[in-house]
Amino acid sequence: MDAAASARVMTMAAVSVVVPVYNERESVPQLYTELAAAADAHPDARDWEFVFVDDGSRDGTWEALVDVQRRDARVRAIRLKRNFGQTPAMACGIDAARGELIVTMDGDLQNDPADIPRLLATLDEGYDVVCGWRYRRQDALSRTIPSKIANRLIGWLTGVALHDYGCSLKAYRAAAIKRTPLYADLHRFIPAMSTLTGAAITELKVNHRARAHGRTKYTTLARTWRVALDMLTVALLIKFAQRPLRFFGLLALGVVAATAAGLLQVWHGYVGPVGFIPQVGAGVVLLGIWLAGHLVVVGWVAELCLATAHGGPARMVASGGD
Amino acid sequence: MEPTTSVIMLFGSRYEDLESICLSLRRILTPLAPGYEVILVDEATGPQTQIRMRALRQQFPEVRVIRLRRHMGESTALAAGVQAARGEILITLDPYLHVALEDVPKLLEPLRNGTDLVCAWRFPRREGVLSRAASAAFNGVARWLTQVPVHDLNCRTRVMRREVFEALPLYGDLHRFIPIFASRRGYRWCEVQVPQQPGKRELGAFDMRSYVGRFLDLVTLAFLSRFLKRPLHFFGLMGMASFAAGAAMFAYLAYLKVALGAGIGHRPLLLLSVLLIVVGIQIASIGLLGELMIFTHARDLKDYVIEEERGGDDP
Repeated sequence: MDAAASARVMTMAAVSVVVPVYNERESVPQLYTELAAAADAHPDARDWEFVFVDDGSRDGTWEALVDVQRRDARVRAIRLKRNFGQTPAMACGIDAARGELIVTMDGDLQNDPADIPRLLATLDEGYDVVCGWRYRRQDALSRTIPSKIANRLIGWLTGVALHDYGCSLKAYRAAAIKRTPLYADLHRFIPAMSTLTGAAITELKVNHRARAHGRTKYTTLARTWRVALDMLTVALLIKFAQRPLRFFGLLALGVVAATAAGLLQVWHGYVGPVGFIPQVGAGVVLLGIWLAGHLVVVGWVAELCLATAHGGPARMVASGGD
Repeated sequence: MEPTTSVIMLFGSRYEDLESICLSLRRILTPLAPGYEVILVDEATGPQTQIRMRALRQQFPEVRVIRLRRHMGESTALAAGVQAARGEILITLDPYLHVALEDVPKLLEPLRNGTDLVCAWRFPRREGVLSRAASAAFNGVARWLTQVPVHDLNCRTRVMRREVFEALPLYGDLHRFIPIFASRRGYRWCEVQVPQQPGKRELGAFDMRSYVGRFLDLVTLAFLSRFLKRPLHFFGLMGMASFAAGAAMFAYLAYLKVALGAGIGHRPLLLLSVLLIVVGIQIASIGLLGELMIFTHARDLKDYVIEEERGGDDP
C-alpha cells in the first residue's frame, strides 16, 4: 500500500466516540472495555476511534489513558495543557474527531456505552442529532428538579423541546456538529444551537447509572445562575442571529410607537390644558427618538457582523446539510 | 541551516550602539544557540538608519531587518518580527536595555525543562521611588485582576517558544500582558530575577499620558480576561439593572398619574426613569452585539491548548 492510500485509511473513521475526562483514573479502564464491546458489536468495528480528552487531570488519568492506548490503536488520547472546562474539552475532541458520525459522552461511567449502537441506528433513520434522554436519572433530587425546570425553560425559550438537555450522551453527523458554535459553557445547548445550522433533531431514551467512582464535578447552586444567563443568551441568539436587523427593527418600531404617543401627549398639553411644552416631557420624547436610532444602528452592525463572518452561522444555513 | 533561535529587537531611535549589541550577542549566544539570527524591526525611522542598517548587515550576516511603513505600536512591530523570524525559540529584547545581555542565558535555562515562556523580572530596580511605586501598583492591579502572579509586566526581555507567541491575540500594547495570556492558555511560564541595568530611562516614564495609557491597558485586560467569551453576561446584567431601576421609577410615576391624577410631565424623575430605561437597552444591545461577534467566530477561537497526543497518526 502506498503512503497516500495508507494516510487515507488512517484519516477516515466511521464513528468517533469523544469522551472528555477529568480526574477519572478509576473509570478509564472500564469505560474503554465497555466502549470496545459496543464497537465490536458494530459492523464497522475496525473503523471506530475513541477520542479521550484529558482536561488537565492530576490523579493519573493520563497514565491510565496511555496504558489503554498502548493496548488498542483505535484509542486516541489527547492531553490539554491545563483544566479548561467541559465545553473546551468537548470542542477539542470534536475538532480532533475524524469520524463521519460523532458520539459524545461523559467519562464518569454514568452514560452506558451499550446505548451507542441504538443512537447510531437512529442517526441512520435520517437525523443529524440524536440526544440521549436519561429517563431514569440516578442522581439526587437536588439535581434532577432544577434540571427538569431548566429543560422546560430551554425548550420554551429556544423552540427545541427536549426532555434532557444535560445528558452528554449524544450522537451527531460530523457535518452538523462541526459547524455548531461551541464556546464558554454552551455544550449544554448544542441541540438548540445546531438548529441554527438546520439540523434534524430527535431524542432517545438511554440508560443512566449511579456514579461508581469519584464524585460529581458540579456544584449545583453556583452553576444555576450562570446556566440561567446562558439560557437567555442562547435564546436571544437563536431568535435574532438569523435576522438581526429585523429583530432590532421591530424593537425600534415599538419605541417609535411609544415615542409618537408621548409626542401626541405633549402636543395635546401644549394646545390644551397646560398651554406650554413641559421641558421634561419633551426630553422624554427626544430620548425615545435617540433609542430608536440606536437600535437601528445596532441591528445594522449585527447584520454586517454576520455577513462578514466566514463560515459563520449565516452561511451554514444557506448551504444546507451536506 | 535554519536558525533555531531568533532574537527580536524593535528599534526606533533608542538603540545607539547596535554594533556593540550585535557583538555581545555573538559572544553570548554563539555557544548556546549556534546559528541564531537577529531580527531588527525598524519602526519607520529616517533614511540615515537605512544606511546604518546596510553597514550593519555587511558586518553581521545574522542580522535581518524588517521595515515597517509607519509606527504601528509595539505589539504589531513584534508580531512582524516574529512572522519574519525562523527560529523555534524567540528572544525579545527590552528596548531600554534594562536587562544586561549577559543575563539572557539565565532566561534560556528554564526552557530546557519544559517551560514555554521565561520573563525577566528586574530586581533589584535602579529607578526613582515614583517610578518604582507606579510599576509596583501596575503589576499589583494586574495580579489582582487576573490572579496570575506577575511581577514585572513592563520588562519586555522575554524568551519563549514560538508556539506561545502565535497562540496569543496581540495587538496595540497588549504584548505587555504576554505572561498573563500565556498562563491563561495553560502554557508553563516563570519569571527570573535579573538586576536592572542603568540603561536608558524609559521615555516618558514620568509622563502623565503613559500612566493613563497603562491604566486603560489594565481596563482592556480586565475585559479580555473576564468577559471576552461572555459579553452578554456582563453587559446584559448591567443593562438589566439600569432598565429595572428605570422601570421601577416609571411604574411609580404611572401610579401617581393614573391612580392619583397628579401631573408628572414636569418632574425630573420622569426624565431620569426614561433615561435609565434607554441606557439599559443600549448597554444590553451592545452586549448582544458582542455576543454575536464571539458566536460567529467561535469556531475559529480555540478555547483549549493541547499538551500532547497519543495514537491517531501512528499506526
